Amino acid sequence: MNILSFGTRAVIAHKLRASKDYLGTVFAETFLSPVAYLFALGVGLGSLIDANGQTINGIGYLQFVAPALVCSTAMLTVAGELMWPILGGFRWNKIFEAMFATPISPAEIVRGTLFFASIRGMAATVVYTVVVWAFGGWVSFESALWCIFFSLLLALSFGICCLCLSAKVEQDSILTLFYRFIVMPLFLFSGTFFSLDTLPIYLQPIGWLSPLWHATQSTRALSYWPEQAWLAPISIIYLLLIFTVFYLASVRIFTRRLTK
Amino acid sequence: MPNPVISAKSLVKKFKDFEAVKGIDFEVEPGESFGLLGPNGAGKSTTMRMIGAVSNRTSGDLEILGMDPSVDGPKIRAQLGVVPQADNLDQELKVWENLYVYGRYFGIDKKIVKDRLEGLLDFAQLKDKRNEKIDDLSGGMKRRLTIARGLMNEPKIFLLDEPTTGLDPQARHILWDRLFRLREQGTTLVLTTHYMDEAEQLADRLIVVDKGQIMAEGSPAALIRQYSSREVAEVRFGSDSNRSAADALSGVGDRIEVLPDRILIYANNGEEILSEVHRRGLVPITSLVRRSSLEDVFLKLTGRSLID
Ligand SMILES: Nc1ncnc2c1ncn2[C@@H]1O[C@H](COP(=O)(O)OP(=O)(O)OP(=O)(O)O)[C@@H](O)[C@H]1O
Ligand SMILES: [Mg+2]
Repeated sequence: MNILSFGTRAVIAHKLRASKDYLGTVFAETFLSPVAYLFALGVGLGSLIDANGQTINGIGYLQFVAPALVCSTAMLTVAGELMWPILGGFRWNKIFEAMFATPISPAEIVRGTLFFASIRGMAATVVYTVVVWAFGGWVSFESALWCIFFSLLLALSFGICCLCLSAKVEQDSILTLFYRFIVMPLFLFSGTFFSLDTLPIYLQPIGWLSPLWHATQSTRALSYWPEQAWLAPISIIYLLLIFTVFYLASVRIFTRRLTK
Repeated sequence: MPNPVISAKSLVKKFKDFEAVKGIDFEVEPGESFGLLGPNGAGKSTTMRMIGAVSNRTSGDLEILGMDPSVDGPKIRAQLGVVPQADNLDQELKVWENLYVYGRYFGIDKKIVKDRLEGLLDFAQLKDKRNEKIDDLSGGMKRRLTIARGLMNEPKIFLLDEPTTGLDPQARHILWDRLFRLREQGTTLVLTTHYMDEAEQLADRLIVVDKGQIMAEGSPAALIRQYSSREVAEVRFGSDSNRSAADALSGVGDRIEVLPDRILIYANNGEEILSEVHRRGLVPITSLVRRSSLEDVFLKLTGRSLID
């Protein structure tokens, strides 16, 4: 199997072309929203916490929250691209039907769509990383690189989960539920704005299952908490496992739905 | 005789427990223009999607260009042009981009795609709309673009599912003319339609399908000869009196069909029938005599009218 086969690249090129009209808005959003967030959190909330002499495991609030903000941007961007547009591709504008009338395969459609969303996710990630750098949010250059690396893994693994679910469902109300009750809580309770161990113990396993927590926490460990560095390989394996399972499921679901 | 380009034997398609196509057999010869005629829900689109190497058959044999679609789907699709019943253009792309992107899926070189799409824009009479968004096209323009897109890969077989739905009469006639020329160049056409004039114009041979089964097969002329009389007298007495008028007309002509709004009397000579109607003291509100058409064939075969 050629991961970047001709058909996959054709899907990516198609999706990029189709999205170029809203590129301006997207860029403004990926640039302005981190500036606003960082200003409010890092500078506002952070200075409050730091002024109290509190640090999180010896780390200032801005440095603590930066990896989480960047990783969650990757997550939310791919979710936006791989939920409603996927269901719509089957039900409303039927672009998957049009693609499948050509020689390309369901697997190529899955990969092309996922890679396109990941490219968008990574573009947002890189912009965010630069903005964080301007605010002094990285403890080191490697820290920023680790964050981009884990954002990519997260975009692929979380993205394929969204794609899989959205290819399976018939109604967009299920997607709305998923977004409100899975994606949003993941965003809030994955050690994003506060450390997972401040949560009641019975809620902490939710964090351990969260792909976002793995990406964020591993970046933190590799950046400034070396005693937790053992988490990184586990997270990588965990994220790759999720990716593999949901990729295979997605190809099956796409094949079934397109050949019905 | 050359090998058929499409050959279906006992072809069945089930959706859960519902059998949409109930074991149909047909063959399409290279260069032929083959029609599927039938009412809503007959299974035409379902059959077309199986021929298009998209939908998996439930059972039976199907061979397209000598290949099995469940094995060689991509290879088959590479040689097909498909016009689905409902347009599935990408709304986020411009007119020309829809053709371009589609061509790229066939692995056609960028430059060749760009050359070809000029010809296709011309074909679809959309040259001056090339930079418009799909949303800004009329329904008929979208249809024409979808049809043009299906020709991007210069297909051996062109599958058209109700191609002229939504087209105005002029655009329909232009399309018929273009399809005629494609056929002269050797492209095999398979099309479904509700319009019997279209079927008569375009199809060398057709199958009449109803409820997933083939009711009859043959050339339009042969079907009309076989299943209908030469002429039809249509008389209307108003919806309340049609029934009783029909009773009074029994024995007139070869066969009588009572529809909700009119009575059809089949006979060799329609004018004689009208005289007989008057002789029996019946005065229709309107009456006319016409040649038999595929509509009459359909009515005879299924007891239902083709267009609801
Ligand atoms: N994906 C599907 N799931 C379940 N049933 C289906 C599906 N697609 C078609 N059917 C059913 O199969 C039957 C045949 O449908 P099909 O679309 O092939 O008819 P058709 O001859 O093309 O009709 P029309 O002239 O209205 O386009 C219908 O009863 C339809 O409800
Ligand atoms: Mg149909």
